[in-house]
Amino acid sequence: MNSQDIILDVKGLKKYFPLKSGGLFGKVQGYIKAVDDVTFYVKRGETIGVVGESGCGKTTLGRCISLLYEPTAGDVKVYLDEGVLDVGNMNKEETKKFRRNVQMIFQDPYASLNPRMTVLNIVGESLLVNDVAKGDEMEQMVGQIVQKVGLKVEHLRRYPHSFSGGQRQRIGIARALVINPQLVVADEPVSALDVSIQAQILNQLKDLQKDFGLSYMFVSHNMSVIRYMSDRIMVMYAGKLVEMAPREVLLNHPRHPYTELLLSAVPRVSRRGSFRLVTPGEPPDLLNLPQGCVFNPRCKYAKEVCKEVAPSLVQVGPDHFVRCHTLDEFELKGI
Amino acid sequence: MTIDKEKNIPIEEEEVPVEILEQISARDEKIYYASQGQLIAWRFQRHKLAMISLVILVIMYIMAMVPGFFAPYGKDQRFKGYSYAPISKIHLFDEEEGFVGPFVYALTQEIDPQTFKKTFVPNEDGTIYRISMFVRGTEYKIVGNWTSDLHLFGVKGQNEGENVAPMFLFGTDQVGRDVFSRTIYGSQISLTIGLIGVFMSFIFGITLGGLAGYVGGLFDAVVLVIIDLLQTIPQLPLWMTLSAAVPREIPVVQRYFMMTVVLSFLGWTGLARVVRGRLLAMREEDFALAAKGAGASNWRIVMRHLIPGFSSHLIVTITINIPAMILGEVALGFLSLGMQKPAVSWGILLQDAQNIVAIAHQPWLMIPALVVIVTVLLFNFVGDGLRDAADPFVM
Repeated sequence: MNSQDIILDVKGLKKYFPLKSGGLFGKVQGYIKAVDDVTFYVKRGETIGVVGESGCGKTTLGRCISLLYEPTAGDVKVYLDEGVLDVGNMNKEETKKFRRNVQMIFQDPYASLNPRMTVLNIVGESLLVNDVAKGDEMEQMVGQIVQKVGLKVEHLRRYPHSFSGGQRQRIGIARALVINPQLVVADEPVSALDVSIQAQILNQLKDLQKDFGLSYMFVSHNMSVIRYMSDRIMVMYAGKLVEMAPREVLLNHPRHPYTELLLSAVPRVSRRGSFRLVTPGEPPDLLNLPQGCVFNPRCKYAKEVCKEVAPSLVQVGPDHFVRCHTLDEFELKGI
Repeated sequence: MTIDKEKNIPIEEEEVPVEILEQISARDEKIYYASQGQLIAWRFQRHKLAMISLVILVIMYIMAMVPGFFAPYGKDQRFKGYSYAPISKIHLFDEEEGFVGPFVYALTQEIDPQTFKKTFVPNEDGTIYRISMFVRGTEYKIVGNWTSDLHLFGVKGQNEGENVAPMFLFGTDQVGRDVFSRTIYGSQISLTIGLIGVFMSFIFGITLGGLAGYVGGLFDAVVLVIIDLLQTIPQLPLWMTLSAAVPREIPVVQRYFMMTVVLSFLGWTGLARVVRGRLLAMREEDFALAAKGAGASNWRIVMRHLIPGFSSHLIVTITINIPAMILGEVALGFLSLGMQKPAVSWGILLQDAQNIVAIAHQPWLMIPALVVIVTVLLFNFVGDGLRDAADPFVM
């Protein structure tokens, strides 16, 4: 893997949220380990899908990557056309460069647009604050991108309340793309939309990726959406990366029991010959993670060692990484 | 044509005329381009009571700006022989001529030989004194700059040296001053002290609450403790202590500003809490994060995204706070701790109504209290209307 192909390289990323007791002299009582020691990379022009159940830390991971949250620890490097950014220690100029090149699409199209600003100002904000364009020039650029995502120029002077959910999400996409970024973190961009609109938006995102040569980090809990969008898929559980592999490999030959569990839950039209695993146990309590492998209480393949020692991430094939003790001991089913 | 499923009867669908469709789309169009502020204004206009209250309040503030024009007499103008004169009866019909428009009779004072109680008897067979609009009267100053002697209404000929009978809409006080005119002059202090007091607590509240909410940490904790401390002190005693500390001999204007400081000393705490809470909550909103992701500075996020987000709530809080300020001034004035005579405010006017004898014999001295009540109610109605209009959940 040479640095020419990759745009984002993340090593050992951690985000812990301290839990404080209230009041003037509140002290830290513990940490929620929302993202714990995640290592991955994104190749130029590809889409990496991040999948996992609610509360597994996928959104937090996305927000750390786009620097909306300050990571607790870890080494994040962004390889841009104009140089490498070491996200941990950037000066003001580099931060600006980072913002220009890494943008985010939000999950909730209702909460992510400021209701008091017109579409023009919402979309144009990044142009304005990064000194790219202002006034007529800004309006022209915003007009172009807005048409690109399927809205009309007449919509520029309107306020968000006059748009439907799908249209609002298009505004959100336009906002992310107007500044011409190289990496876009899409945080569940379609989960708040109707199924019919979901397809439109997903296809639009694919077209835009082709047109602008974007790299996507696509976060979703919906395996079908991830499957449709991603070139490579990473599976997260309780803040940890448990498996990462190219799409077909992960879907057909999963190596982690949790991946198998996720795949078995994907609804299919034909039930013939398919299987469905009953999900034992509950999603993990992030405050009180189990000893050893975080997945062991729900894992049907768990051994003694799983309850004591946390497995580390090992490479099992080209671009295929798994965090499990029982590798090669069982045959896991894919789709 | 569709079929009603329950009854299986065909229902005629109404044809909507094209013009109506066009009207509807034109209205929608207007709403699409409307900002949040416009939407709030439209909803507020639908609130009849609040609209009426707002109009009345605006009129009251205009009156407070040029009291001399709206008051028929000067604030210190005394009428000899009219001490504690009751409310004048305004007549419309003369016995001989029939309808002649509003007029008053002269009053003569009589003393009951048995009780020594003074009564005023209208001289009903005598001359009538017509009331009309735009009469010349005592001179007054407009905004301290121009002088004029034009009054909105008054008894005709009151400035021509003629001995005309006076008209007292709210009666007179002990030294024969017109309570109605004095109430209007008093509104100048009583109405504006609320506005300026609220403005000052607004500044305190926004800065301290905003810093607490945004900076957080130790500063936040300290501000919260100060707010808690201030809120545990009973309001009136604290006001009394503070205003007792204001020297008595200072000029009216200075005292006025001292009083606004005293009144807003406690008023900012509630507002600061609101601002802090909203900032804390909205800092984590997606659109604030989106602005951060776009590269906006903290200052821009607060000023452009967060503060406008709850400005409507601030306006509502402010409107609801003004009556408290007005009541505070009245209470202090009533206790002779607020503004001092010869200044005129509603609280000072009510000092005359402090003893039971005065109220029993001259009930009209209580009228300023009625005016205070009405004003507070009006503000509350407007505040209600604004709150309903600004409530985002009615969207």
